[in-house]
Amino acid sequence: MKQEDDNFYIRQVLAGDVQAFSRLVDRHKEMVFTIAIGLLSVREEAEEASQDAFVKAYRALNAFKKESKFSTWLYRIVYNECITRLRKRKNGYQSLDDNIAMDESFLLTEEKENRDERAALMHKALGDLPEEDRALIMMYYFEGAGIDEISEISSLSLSNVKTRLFRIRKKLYDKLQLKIEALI
Amino acid sequence: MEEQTKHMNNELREAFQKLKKPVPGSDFTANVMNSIEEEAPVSQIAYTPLFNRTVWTVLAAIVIVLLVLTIWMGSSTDSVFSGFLSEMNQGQLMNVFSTINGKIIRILSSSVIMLSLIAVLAAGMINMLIFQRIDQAG
Repeated sequence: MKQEDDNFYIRQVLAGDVQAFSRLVDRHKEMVFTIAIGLLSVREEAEEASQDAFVKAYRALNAFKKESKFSTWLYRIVYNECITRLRKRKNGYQSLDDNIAMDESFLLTEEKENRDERAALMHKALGDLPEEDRALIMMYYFEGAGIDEISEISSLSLSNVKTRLFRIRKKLYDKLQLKIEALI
Repeated sequence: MEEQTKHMNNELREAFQKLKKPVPGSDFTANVMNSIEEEAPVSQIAYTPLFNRTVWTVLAAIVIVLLVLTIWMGSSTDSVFSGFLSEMNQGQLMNVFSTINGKIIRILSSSVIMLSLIAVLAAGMINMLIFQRIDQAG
């Protein structure tokens, strides 16, 4: 089947075909969810934030000016949605020091017995990162997002994204190395 | 150093590949579509601003220049452009544009026209700011 671009489906939705929006959801839900779980850590909350972001994007679709890619615009919406939720969480019922347990569901393979030690360490190291750093590195490695795109999504400058990514990679790498050495 | 960074990057890429990529639940799309179907359909008519952002930025710059001139040249609005004209008359540029300039300056020196111009441009700036806020929120 011919793969139409995002603008095709946007035109369809604006012309009254609501179901065409499901194609956009299918196409972008993984990246949207990666951003959300990176920032929020909790699966249920990440799914809720991702859904809310899609509904917001639908509502604002006629204001989308095509100055940037639809995907980037959508990812910015979910990023902002999650940042708002994080702020509410931190100002509300949970203190800044509370560590929210990282969702276990994306710990490598389905079978627990097949879990790779290094991946388990990586999961732990990811869980220890600050939320925004975790989201940035997950966009970079899981979704293959470029520095430019990450900069647009997070509203951080290019140089800031470069510096932060380098710092996060160094931190993760050092943690992995230290823990692997400790295991040996 | 570069070699070390490359090695670090490869190691991390490999470790990430072993992690199970986070994916939303299988009913995710259906849930989104259910929420959307409860919404009113989005309008096909998209609001398009009268001018694009660049034009509004240029107009905003003109407003600022006009305001600065108003403050700089004196308290009376009527005297702003007549003062400006007399200054300009001394320059050589005035000779080149003298025929058109006289008419333009006469029109612009009317306080009503100038204040209207400032009001229209200020409204444009507000419009631009509102759009920026919608973009940031949206």
